[in-house]
Amino acid sequence: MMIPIALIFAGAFVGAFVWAARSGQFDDVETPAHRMLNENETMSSGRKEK
Amino acid sequence: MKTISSPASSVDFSFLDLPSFRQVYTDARTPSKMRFYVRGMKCAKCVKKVEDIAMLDTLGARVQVFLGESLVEVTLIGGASGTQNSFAEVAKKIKELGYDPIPLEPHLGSQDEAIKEDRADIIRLAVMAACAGNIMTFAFAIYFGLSGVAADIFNWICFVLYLPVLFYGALPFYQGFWRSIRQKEMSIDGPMAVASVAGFVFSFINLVRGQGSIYFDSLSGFLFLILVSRYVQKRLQKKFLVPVSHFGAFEMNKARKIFATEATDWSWSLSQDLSAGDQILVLKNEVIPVDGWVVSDFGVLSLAYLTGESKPQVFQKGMKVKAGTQVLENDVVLRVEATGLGTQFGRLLEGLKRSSLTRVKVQDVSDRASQWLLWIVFSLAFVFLIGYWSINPVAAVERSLALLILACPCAMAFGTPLALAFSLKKAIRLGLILKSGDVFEKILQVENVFFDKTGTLTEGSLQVVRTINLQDKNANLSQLQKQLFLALEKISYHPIAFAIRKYFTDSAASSANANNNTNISADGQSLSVTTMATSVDSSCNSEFEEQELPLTDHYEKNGVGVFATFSSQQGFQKYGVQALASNEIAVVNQVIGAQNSSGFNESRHKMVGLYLWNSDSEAWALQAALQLELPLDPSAKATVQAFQKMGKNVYLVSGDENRLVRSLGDELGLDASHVFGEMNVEQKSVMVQSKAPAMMVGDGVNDALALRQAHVGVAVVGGVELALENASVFMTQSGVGALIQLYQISQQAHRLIRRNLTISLIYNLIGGTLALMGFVNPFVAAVLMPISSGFILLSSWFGGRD
Repeated sequence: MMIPIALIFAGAFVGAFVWAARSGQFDDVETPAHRMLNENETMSSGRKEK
Repeated sequence: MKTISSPASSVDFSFLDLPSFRQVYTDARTPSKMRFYVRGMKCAKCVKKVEDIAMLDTLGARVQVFLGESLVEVTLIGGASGTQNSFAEVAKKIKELGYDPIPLEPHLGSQDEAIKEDRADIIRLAVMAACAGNIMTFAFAIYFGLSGVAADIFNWICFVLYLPVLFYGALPFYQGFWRSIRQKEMSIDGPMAVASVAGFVFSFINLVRGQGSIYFDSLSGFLFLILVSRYVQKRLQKKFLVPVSHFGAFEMNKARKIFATEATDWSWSLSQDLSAGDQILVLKNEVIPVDGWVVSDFGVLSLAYLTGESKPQVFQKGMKVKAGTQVLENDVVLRVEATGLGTQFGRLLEGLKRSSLTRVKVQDVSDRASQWLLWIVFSLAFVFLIGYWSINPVAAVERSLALLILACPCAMAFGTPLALAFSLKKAIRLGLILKSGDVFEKILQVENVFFDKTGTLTEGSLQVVRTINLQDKNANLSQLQKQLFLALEKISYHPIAFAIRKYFTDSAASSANANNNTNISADGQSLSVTTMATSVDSSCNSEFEEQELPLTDHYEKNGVGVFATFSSQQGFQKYGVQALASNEIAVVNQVIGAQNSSGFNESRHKMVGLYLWNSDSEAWALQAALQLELPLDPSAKATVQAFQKMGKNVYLVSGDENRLVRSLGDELGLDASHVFGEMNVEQKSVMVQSKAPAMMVGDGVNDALALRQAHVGVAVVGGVELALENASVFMTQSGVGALIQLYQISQQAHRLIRRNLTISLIYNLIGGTLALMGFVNPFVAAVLMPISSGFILLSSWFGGRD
């Protein structure tokens, strides 16, 4: 019983990663780290369209 | 229509809003999106500053920074009234922040397709990681004693988990294998593809049979690690090599076309839309996008993009300039001769975009190196399979498969490319651009190092350091003498001509300021010495507005000088500018020597004189002389010594006069037998070939052949295009000292590659033997394979960094 659960878990994580990559979360892994440091949470421009 | 308003015009990006430019710089599918390559963004503050541009409501734009690739993506959202909906305004704002936005043509930057490719790569890695990791977990349970039904279930799970690896993850290997088959070459993808499929089939059969080895775990593990290393390598190349291709491409596209005859009336035009005869205006700091003739009185130009030579050179009205030349001082008007691919620079850029520089053939090198090993492994496996088949078919398949998997030359598959990619990164930081990765190998094989003299060991361009008026020793050069020098040299592209033009335009500026002239007198004999003006004043055009001297019968005799007939009030006079004979130099030196004991080093100083033809005595009479100096590269001597210390023979080969070359050789501490003067193109190349393996360092047309023949050809900054095309290394910064560093980088790379190879060879040898003897079971393979791959990955990573 544990096995299917483990596999489903693994599958879910892969799925989550694929979704993240497809939606552009890994396109630029450097800028957001810097962007976060800006004090005033800036406008819409800072984010990728969904 | 706009009028020139000098400094502000450098932030004029209005062309970006013209339909013709938008067509070039935006993708037809997303016309409101434009990407800019912006250098110099490094920190959080830069990101904030640039992205805050979008806060300006009037712009109606969205701005996103991609720091890793130095890209800024601008999307016009428009909509609200009062927004400008203009790329030009956004670009202007970025420029005002102090960054240089260069719009990218959609196919140049990382646009949608490249992003898709990146995402596909990363997803593939993730799937591979998940499958390999999970397979490993289940497989280990079996290795640690799981048996019976549970073990069967686990094996079947491994099988299912291997399916994505087989049909999705390993696709790049099949593609690579297929390509290599079509090109009739052996590639590292071969064993991977074969192992992936054969291993699967074999393991599947064993699984169904319920006995025998199962390799899903080891196969997925090492396929994953190899994909990781390839991904790392790809990222490195992208980050450090692609920016080279942005270089100049954009500048070549825009031109200010002048209407009618007034330089003040112009409009933007794509340079490809210009036609011969059009006049264009190029402002200070911009790059000339066409081949053409100077229409302005003169221009201070730099050939940096073309040849690497960054020193300013003065062009006069009517002279021809090539596309890629940069305007350093005043704005220049040009008449177009050729555009785009009609220009040498256009073709060069096109070639650059297509091939060599951006895709350094790192992979090929290691592929070639590993071919023989692959052949051995493949044929060994095959021979074993055939030979052992009669004894035990199952063991035959099993063992040859184990050999294929184990003895796969991982070090060469990714250790070498990684090491080379890291070295390339270091070389680029030194200002060295390498045409291919094998330079690192080749430079270490070099035994003889040849240096060209002019432009290579001597730094940059000739400078006029003294003027001597021989008609009136108390005075500076007369106005007429200056004008004659300039007018005579006007048709010449010889370095001396450039030096003279630069000197007189500079001194025109400084004499206006009247502070750079010093009169020195000694021994009752006085002579005026004008010291070199060090900076080019921007207000230096006054002198050139005077009428031109009426010269006829104007010609240049290559290697001798320039000559013309001057019609003055005294009738026709024949003038010439040529080098002084040595007895004349002695006379002039005597005069100079009185004030300056430092004297005259023949290897680096030259004297040219203005001569008037005396028809009575049938001889040239010296009117005035200019002393020119070629500064020595400060790193030259140290470099020569360093190479000698490494046991290399250093030679000096030059087309210059023997005694001059010898004198420089002495200055550098070279043995007389290693110094060769008066060498022509052929002789240089024969010399380089006869002393193979040799490294040739040169810059001129006369070096091009030798550069190509040499084992390693290095074109130095300031070199001509032909030299660059034939060399395998370009130096983009002056100073041959970087060569020593390149040598050290190569040594490091070599050590690293050798370390990887040794590890891998020992491993392959032991693993291969064990595999053939039948000692390798899936567990051993599963443990050994990733360990060796991981070890080499780490070894390259740490060895290559710093």
